[in-house]
Amino acid sequence: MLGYALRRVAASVPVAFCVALFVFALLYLAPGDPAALMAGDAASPADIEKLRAALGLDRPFLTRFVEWLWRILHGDLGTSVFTGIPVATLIGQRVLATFSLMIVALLIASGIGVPMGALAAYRPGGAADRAVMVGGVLGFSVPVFVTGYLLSYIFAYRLGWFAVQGFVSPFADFGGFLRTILLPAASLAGAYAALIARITRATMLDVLAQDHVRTARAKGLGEARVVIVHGLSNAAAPILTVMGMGAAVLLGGAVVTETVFGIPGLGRLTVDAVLRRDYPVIQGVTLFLAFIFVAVNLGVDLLCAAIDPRVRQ
Amino acid sequence: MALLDVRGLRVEFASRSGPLAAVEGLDLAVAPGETLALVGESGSGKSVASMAVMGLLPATARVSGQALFEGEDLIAMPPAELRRRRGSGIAMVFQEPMTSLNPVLTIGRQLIEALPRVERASRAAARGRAAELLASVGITAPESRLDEFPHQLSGGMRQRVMIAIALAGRPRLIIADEPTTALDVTVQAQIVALLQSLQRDTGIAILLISHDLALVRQMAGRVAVMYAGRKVEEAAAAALFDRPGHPYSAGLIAAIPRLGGGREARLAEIPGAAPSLAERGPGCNFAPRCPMAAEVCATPPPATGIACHFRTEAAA
Ligand SMILES: Nc1ncnc2c1ncn2[C@@H]1O[C@H](COP(=O)(O)OP(=O)(O)OP(=O)(O)O)[C@@H](O)[C@H]1O
Ligand SMILES: [Mg+2]
Repeated sequence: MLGYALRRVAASVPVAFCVALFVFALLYLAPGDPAALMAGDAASPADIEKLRAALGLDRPFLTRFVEWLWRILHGDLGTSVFTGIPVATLIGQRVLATFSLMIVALLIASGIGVPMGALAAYRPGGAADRAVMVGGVLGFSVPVFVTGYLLSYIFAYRLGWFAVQGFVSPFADFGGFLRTILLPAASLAGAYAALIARITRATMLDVLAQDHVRTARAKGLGEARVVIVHGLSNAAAPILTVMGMGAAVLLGGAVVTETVFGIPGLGRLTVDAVLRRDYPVIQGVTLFLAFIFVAVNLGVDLLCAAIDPRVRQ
Repeated sequence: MALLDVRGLRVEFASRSGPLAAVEGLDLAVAPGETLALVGESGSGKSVASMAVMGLLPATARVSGQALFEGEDLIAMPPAELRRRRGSGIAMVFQEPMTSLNPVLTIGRQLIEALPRVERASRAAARGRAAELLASVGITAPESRLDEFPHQLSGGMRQRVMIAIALAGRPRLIIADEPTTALDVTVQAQIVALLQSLQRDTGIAILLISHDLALVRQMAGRVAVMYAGRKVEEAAAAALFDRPGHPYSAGLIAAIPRLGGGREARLAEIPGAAPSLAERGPGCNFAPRCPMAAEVCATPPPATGIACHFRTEAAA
């Protein structure tokens, strides 16, 4: 297991490097001249040229990339050209809100998706199966902002059970945290829950037909134990893998959700930075989120190996 | 009284052209401590019949008739009660040792969960009992095997583990569905020897499902022959191998590869193929392949004893 873990961690390093190169190149190739933008409308071409040199934008791609990478390795993600605040600080201020949102959404989505998918596979064509079918289509096709505004209108505006906007730290006031986070997390969870239910159903359908499940029943085990212990233990690795890949769905959805519910998170930070062409911020946040994605999938792989002995050899 | 008394067992599967019977009017009786073999070609309904007794068929199967285990009907009883008899009353050993164990759980966990509740009460005692079971099926270093996973064991070892799991609940009957088919010849012999010694030691009854007649001859006291979902003959093993009553049994026995028989032994194989579920009729289903077939064979064969119009009463 330790050997597998070390190999897997080592294999993530080149992946992380490629991600960094990709993020850097994306903004290098993006249209628009950051120097002109920063200098403002009144600047003369000579001023812009001076600014470009000052920012190091006139040097070759590779030099800039290596320098940028070097700074990142030292924790320096650059400084916002708009606010003058270091990007790392900006991320630090907002990461809690976004992670809370994603983790609560993950809990809701797997809390619904896994049992529903398992029930659907247990009785194909039954009520749960049809519910998963319909719920799956709705979850995938209704955009997050529609669910968001709808939930917000009913439960926050009409019923007043939840806050309409904002975010409260769970460490400051847990009740307030739940009042602010549950609605956005629920709207964000929709598509993810549908994804989890689908993959759980498909995997469990396969697993429950395997010979060892018949052995478990022949031992006299109860159906709950057969499905949960013998079914889900075998289905866990594929389900977790898809959940890891699907974290991208959550990241993408978080941007919209944060906007709808006025949550000061990384999604909002990114949107604002894009609108202002605040390149260091865009680059920093994108890189940060990409690294999180790589780390999540590394964690998933290690978890799969811990659950399934066939993976780790 | 028989330990397991199956009467008029019928299993139907739904199909597009209506229900099709995989097992029809099967009667079987297994006495305590005896070995009854159930033989027949692939598709004759041996596994379906045994799974029906255990209540392990998919929901698409319709089971009727009776399966009295110690006098109580397994087919009529509520699922929860049937579940209590699985493992502790009747246990099963399956054909595929490679896939019949859960690949993500240790051997120890799979053994321990098959133990009766009282024996699972303490962790240490449960492990001790599990190791004891592994030792009893001839696995060396049983303590360390408990923490291994199925993929770390050979096919023969896995089948031993399956047998240990079957023994865990201290059942009175083991249904062994082709327990040696998937194994090498030498390993087959070991598993057979193991089953025989376990039977001597514990007095457990075995319902042995097989199309390996050499194995059947070695292990079984009585033999029931199935063809196309019906029992065509049942007799003491010695009598059957000596004087088979049904032409199908005679064909099967003639097809046993003789030691040193080589290629010629195969020539005796019954020509043709068994009918599919949909092709079966009320008459003798073996008639199209039978050397003795006549017009009368289109009518239902005798319902008791040897199911053949030309039966030779001597063997019954
Ligand atoms: N779930 C099912 N649905 C429909 N038909 C089935 C099902 N299970 C078994 N059958 C059919 O029932 C018949 C009997 O199958 P069974 O598995 O009992 O044969 P068998 O005698 O055990 O053969 P083998 O020696 O190959 O194991 C076969 O024709 C099979 O196709
Ligand atoms: Mg079979």
